[in-house]
Order: sequence, then structure tokens, then C-alpha cells
Amino acid sequence: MEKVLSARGVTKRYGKKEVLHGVSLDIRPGVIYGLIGRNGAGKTTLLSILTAQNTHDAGEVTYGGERVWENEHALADLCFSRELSPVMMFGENSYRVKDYLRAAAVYYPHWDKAYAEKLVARFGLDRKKKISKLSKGMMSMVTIVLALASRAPITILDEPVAGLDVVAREDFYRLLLDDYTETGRTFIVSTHIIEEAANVFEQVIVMDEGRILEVADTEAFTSSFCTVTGHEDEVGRVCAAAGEDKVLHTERFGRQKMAALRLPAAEARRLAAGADLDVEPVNLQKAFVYLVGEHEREEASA
Amino acid sequence: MRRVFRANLPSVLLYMALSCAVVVAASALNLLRGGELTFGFLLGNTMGYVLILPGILMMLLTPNLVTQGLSMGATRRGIALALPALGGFITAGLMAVALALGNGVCMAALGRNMLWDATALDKKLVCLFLAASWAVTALCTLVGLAGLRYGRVGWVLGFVGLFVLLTAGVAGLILMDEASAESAVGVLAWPLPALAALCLALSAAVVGVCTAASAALLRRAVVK
Repeated sequence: MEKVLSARGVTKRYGKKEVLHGVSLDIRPGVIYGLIGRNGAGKTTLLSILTAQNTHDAGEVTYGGERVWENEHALADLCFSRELSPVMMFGENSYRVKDYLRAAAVYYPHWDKAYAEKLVARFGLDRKKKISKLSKGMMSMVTIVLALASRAPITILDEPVAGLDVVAREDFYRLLLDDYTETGRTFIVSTHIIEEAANVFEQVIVMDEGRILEVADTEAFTSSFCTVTGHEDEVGRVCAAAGEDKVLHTERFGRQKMAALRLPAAEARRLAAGADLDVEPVNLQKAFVYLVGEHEREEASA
Repeated sequence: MRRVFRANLPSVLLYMALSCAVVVAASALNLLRGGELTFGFLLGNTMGYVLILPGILMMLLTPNLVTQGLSMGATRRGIALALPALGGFITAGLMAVALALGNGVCMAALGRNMLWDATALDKKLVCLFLAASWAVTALCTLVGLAGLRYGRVGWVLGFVGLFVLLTAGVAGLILMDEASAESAVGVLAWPLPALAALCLALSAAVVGVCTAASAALLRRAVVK
């Protein structure tokens, strides 16, 4: 039976501040999820709760119907490869790359040593180098090696491309897709560099201010947004026809106006029939910006 | 528990090697200063270090060990059980190495293998030191966990708690009436089987309580 990682009504507080508000989510097997959200949206907190690295104040996290908390069998199937820190409690992080790999080989039951070695060679990582002496990009490479070689059925990467140059980022996405094609395991990738990863994500999870705004097929999600640009009166007419709730954002350039709508481009074109308007689809990054911006506007008005 | 133990064994062995170097260096320094070379001197000297070094090691190792374990999928229960096991391993390992080193020096200097000389080495005494060291190590581990869990406040409270406990023990010995103090010290100097067993039981109880307290602290330990 394929196991689903589920969160139901998960709430987390740091002191008096509630950072996750009753989050519910299902992570299905064999899907690459992209977790996107602004800084402080609660992404890392959610991921660490899903993998029992963090506590929660209410709700439940299960894997295949069993609670994840203190469940050795469930945790054996989960890998949350987090950003490495150059400092530890008593000064610099003096662990070497090989120390991390050795520990990972012990902790992760599905660890693929040969694959890890291959990745280390591919990234040109010096196994003897201390973590504190690595560049930000090199640290990201170590977390990528850990995540991919863990071969965990559910593998989570938190900001895996932070500090990587564009060539290394492309290489990472290629590796991710190769691995996915080979193993069909589930990946959750949390990232701020949205547009580059858009083609990799099958599903997108949009988070904002401790809530999940949307979980959707990436293509369906992006194609549900469009922009309409043209004379302000005509754009206004289309906006009115679409309904106020569909208008996420507007911008003026003299007599010209651009409106971002939560409407498929085909639908907007139908509403704009006969008018001299440009109706364009948007990319994932823009869709995210419009959606989160709209959400914040609603919060402010409430 | 086994995974946590195995994953941390290389670091533990490295730190143990460094500790042994400290024991050897300090012993050599004391020897040079004192100019004395008896097995009793070496034993007392090295055991003094063995009593405190494992505790310091575990205090330093614990926060990183817990963070790494949790971030790589270890359960809190597994970590809580691995901590006293690692503490015991360090204590026994250092004790063995310290004795072997002391014996090696005696062999070289006096031509006597004192580890097998019943008059020179009381095995009950070694057991008592081992138990006492394991108990101190468990207490120090708890300080490390408090530091991880509560940050600076945890460290300060942990150190204060440890200081109070150790001071209370020493003060208790000082404030005892003479006869009781003599018999208490006598346990260490000439351990009687019954008293030695009592001390071992006390150490085991300390380790048990510390493990339970560690498990309670770990229940809320997080990797943010």
C-alpha cells in the first residue's frame, strides 16, 4: 500500500505567537511537490513538524495512518535535508563532509553509498573539508547529496539551491528529475527561486502567514491566472465582467492599465472579445506574487 | 538507540583519544613536578581525570549529538537510551586506557605489571570509580541537554545544579561525624563488598534518574 504523509489541523506556537494555524495537508506518493511561500510563512516549521523534528501544539501528523511522532518505522521513510549551519553550539561546525556522510549512512536505512560517492565526485566536494570552511553553495551541495542518497520514500529539501550558481542549480534539477524517474519517490522542495523550479514541480503548495493557501497541480494553478492590459476603460469593463473577487492586482501606466485576474486566459479572452486588449498567461512566480499579495490585502482589510 | 550510538562512535573515539592525551600529559607533568612514581600515585592521578573527563566530553557532545540525531530521523526515545550508553562507553573506555597507560609507565619504570598484581590494584575500587564516573557523566549529559533545550538559561541552571549537587556531597562528607566520615572515606580506600554494592546501587539510581530526566527534556527538544 502506498503511504500518504498527512497533517491534520497542525498548529504551532512559538511563545505567544502562533506560526501555523491548523494546517492540513496530504503528501501523496510519487509526486514532486514545490513548497513556496514568503520568508516567515512557516515552511520550514511545517516541514520539521512533518518529520517530527519539531513539536506541534495541536493536530496530528501521520504516515500511512500511523503517527509519525517517535515512530521509528515512519521516520525511516522520511528524510528532511535541512540547510547546514557553519556554526554549532560551541563554535564553528567542525564536522567534515565525510562525517556527515558517515552519520547519514548509519541513520538512513535506504542509504545508497555508491550514489553518494558519485554525487560527491560530481559536485567536486572535498570530503575532508570542514563544514564551516565550505561556501554557502558547497553546503547546499552536501544537503543535496544527503537528500538524494538517502533514497527515502519521502525526501524533503529545504532551500536546496541557496547559494548555488545557475549551472549547479540546473544540475540539481536534472539530478532530481533523473532520481524521480528512476525511483518514483516523493520529493518536497521548499524554495524561493520559484520560476526555475516551476517545470520540475508537479504539485505546488502555496503557504502564507502560517496557512496553506492552495495545493494544486502546478500547470492548472498557473493557468488559472492571467493579466489583461490595455486602455483603462476596457480593462475595467473586463474586470467588472469577471467579478471583483477575481481581480488580484492592478497597475496603471497613464491611461493604460494592467489587471491580474484569477481567471484562465481563455476565459479572459472571451470576456475581452472585441476589445483591443492583451490577455497573457502568467508564470508560477507571478501567480504566487498575485495570490499572496491578494491574500495580504484581504487580511489587511479584515 | 544502536543507530545513535554507532553514528556518534567516531566522534566519541576521537574525543576519547584527545582525553587520553590530556591524562598522559597531566600525569607526566605531575610526575615531573612530584618526582614520584608509584602505581598508587598513577592510579589516583589518572582516576581523578577519569572521574571528570567523560562528564565534560558528554556535556560537549550532547547538544550536537541530539541535533544531528533528530535531523536524521532518530527518535527521542532512541537518543535518550543512547546517551547513558555512550556515557558508560566513554567512562569504561577512558578508565581502561588510563589504567593501561599507568600500568605501562610502571612497567617501563619499575618493571612491574601491576594490573595483575592483586596487592597494587583493588578491582572493587576500580568498579566504584567507574560507577561514580558514570553517574557524574549522566549528570553532565543532563546539563548538556538543558543547555540545548533552554539555551543560556539551561546552561546556567545546569551548571548551578551540578555545582550544588557536588558541593552538597562534599559538604555532607565534611559535616558528617568523624566515625561516619571515616567509614564513608573507607568505602573508597578499602571498599567492603556491602558498602561497595550500596555505592554501585546509588550510582545506578543516579544514572536511571538522569536518563528519565533526559527523556523528559528530549520530549520537547526540537530542530527548528
